[in-house]
Amino acid sequence: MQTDFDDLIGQVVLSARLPETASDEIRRELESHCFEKSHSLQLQGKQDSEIKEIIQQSFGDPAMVGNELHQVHRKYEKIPIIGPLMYFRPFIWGLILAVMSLLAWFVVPSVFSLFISPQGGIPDAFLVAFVLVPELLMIGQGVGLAAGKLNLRDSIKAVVFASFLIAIFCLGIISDQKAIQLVSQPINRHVFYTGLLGNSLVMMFVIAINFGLILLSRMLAGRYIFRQVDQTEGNKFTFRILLSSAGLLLFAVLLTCSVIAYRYVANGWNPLKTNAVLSDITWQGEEPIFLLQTVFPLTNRPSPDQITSRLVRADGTVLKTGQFDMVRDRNSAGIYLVQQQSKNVLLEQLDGAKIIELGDLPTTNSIVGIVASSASQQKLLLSTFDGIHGASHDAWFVYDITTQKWSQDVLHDVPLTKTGTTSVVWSKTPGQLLIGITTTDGDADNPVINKYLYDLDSAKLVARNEQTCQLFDCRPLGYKEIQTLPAVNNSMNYSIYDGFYQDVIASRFAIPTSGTTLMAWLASPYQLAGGIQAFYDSAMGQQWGVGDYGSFYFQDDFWNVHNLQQSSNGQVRTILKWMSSPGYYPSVLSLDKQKRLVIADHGKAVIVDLASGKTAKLADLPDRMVVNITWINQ
Amino acid sequence: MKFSKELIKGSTKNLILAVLKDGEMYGYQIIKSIADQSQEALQFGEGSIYPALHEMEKLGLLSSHWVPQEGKPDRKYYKLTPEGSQALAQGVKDWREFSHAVNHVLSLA
Repeated sequence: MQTDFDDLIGQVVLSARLPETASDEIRRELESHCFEKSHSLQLQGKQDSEIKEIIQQSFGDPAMVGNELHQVHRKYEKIPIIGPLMYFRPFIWGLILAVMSLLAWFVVPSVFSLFISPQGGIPDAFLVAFVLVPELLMIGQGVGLAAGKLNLRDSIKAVVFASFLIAIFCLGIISDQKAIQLVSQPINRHVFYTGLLGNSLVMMFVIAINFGLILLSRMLAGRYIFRQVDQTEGNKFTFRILLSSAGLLLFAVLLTCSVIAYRYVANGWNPLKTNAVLSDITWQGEEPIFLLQTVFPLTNRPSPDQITSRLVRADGTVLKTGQFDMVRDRNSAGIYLVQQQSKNVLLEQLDGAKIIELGDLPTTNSIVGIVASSASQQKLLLSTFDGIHGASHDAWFVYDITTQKWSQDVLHDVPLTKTGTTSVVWSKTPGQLLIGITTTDGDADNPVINKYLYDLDSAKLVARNEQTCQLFDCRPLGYKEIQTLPAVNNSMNYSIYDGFYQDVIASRFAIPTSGTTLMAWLASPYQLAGGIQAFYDSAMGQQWGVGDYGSFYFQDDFWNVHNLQQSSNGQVRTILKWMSSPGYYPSVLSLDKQKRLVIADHGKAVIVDLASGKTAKLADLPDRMVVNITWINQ
Repeated sequence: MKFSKELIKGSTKNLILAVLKDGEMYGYQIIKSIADQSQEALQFGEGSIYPALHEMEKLGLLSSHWVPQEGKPDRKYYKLTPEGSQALAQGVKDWREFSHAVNHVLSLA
């Protein structure tokens, strides 16, 4: 008999389509009704079979009753505030904390970018903390809930849902880190220099992703976890969350715009003023001269007219401002400032003593370096690059100062190749070039290297693959791609392999040695971020390098530790370690004649006495372009 | 004598309020009370009283509470709220005026 009542009641409840609590109540009430009616009929002497029929007849159509109940509850439904919150309390708190954390996550980098580290970069610990804290609190909410305030079933739901959210946030962390990693990669490094803009966009993207995931989780949870919760209530709830998310995104957009606007105003409407890159260091006697450059518009391979340069002393005194680049005469060790407008090129010596107007360069390429002047000082060999590819394969030009003409058929006896690596250095003999052409023929481990000695004045080869031209492979730090080409009389050349671009960049770094002076090459921040940086002490037979072991790029480690190491007699010794923000690498290395090493890491220049290993602050370069560098004492 | 459902339906609210005037009752008891007091003339489709009770509760005319029972299902008792008492008074007044008007019209037939 009870089964018959269950069928009847079940039909009513099913037709009513009400939330679980309301359905339970109706079920109880109808069970009571059927029991009382049944009992009353039994007292009247009715048989069970009769009772069933009487109850069914007197009750009416259960589907109709259920529908009426449904309409009544729908009609008078009030937007519940307390009830769902009991279910969603952990979710609400989790959401509130998550929103707060995301806001903080957004604001803190902005503060960092504006006031502390304009180049961007926020310690990973912050990112992790701002995500983990709400997650831990959410777990606490769920556990606390499970401990008492709600019944076991609701508590389990809450904990399951909180766990679900935590999983979502874990996904968020991954996506965030990937996004930061993306922005931090060298190919976008100059974008990263703008710091705030990049960070803001990433944060907005992350917020959107996170909230999208939260909404998705809410909908899934509503469907599969809180299945019995009234769908209309759930939809309203979701709608509120959606509105909140939209509001938050709007807030993020407004905040970004306002911060960018502030940045423009604060910097005289020059968004890049504070984003200068320390591109080069040279020396005037004991005093270092820094070349600071900004690039606008942002591009990976800026042309000269997109670069604004300043020469500044360590005390911040600006020596020269304009659109120029710094190149070196590898023969005379002179420094030229190259001003290039379209094809017209002007060379100016650093001290302004000599200005050479080269006229129209027979190419639209940019000059990236003066390789050398000839013995007569009347010819200049310049390398250019086409703005797309690396410098190594691009055209070489000779300018005859006497005739004021360009020559393109330089090195015509040398089978320059587009597929191999051409390295050009100045030999000890004035006016002679050592040219090494490395080809791999598909076997990267066994390159074929041909060597040529070329006289620039006579434009002829004077030696080919002779012993004096022998090459060796030093591979000082385990990077097999590093190749050195020591030539006659201590002249040498590095072929630098950029681990990120997986390409050899050689010509820009062709540097002659001179006697016992430690040699360093200058890295381009646009080309060698994350690459290999090394220099060689020809007199001591030591190789030095700054490798990015444990760095952001190569080992996917969020801690950005740089190592200055010395390799001697097969032993590698760490001289200096320092840590900078993710994505930052020392842009410039330089040595003075006292064997003091300057490491400049985006504005903070530190001098290291190689003999004692002691470091000292050399300069805080102007314009807040400093990434905080934590030096690790040895 | 039994009346049509439509005729009873229009008076359901007043009937429920009326039988609850003397004290709280549960659903089946209300049905039975109405039937008894009308000498079996007013008999609901029993299922339909629950939507009415729920609606009146939603409207604030009734309040309810559960009373545990030994050895049988708990009962949900309904009782008048002050608003329900006012509604009953208004309902009686309206009904009298309505029935008077109806009687007056019918007496002319």
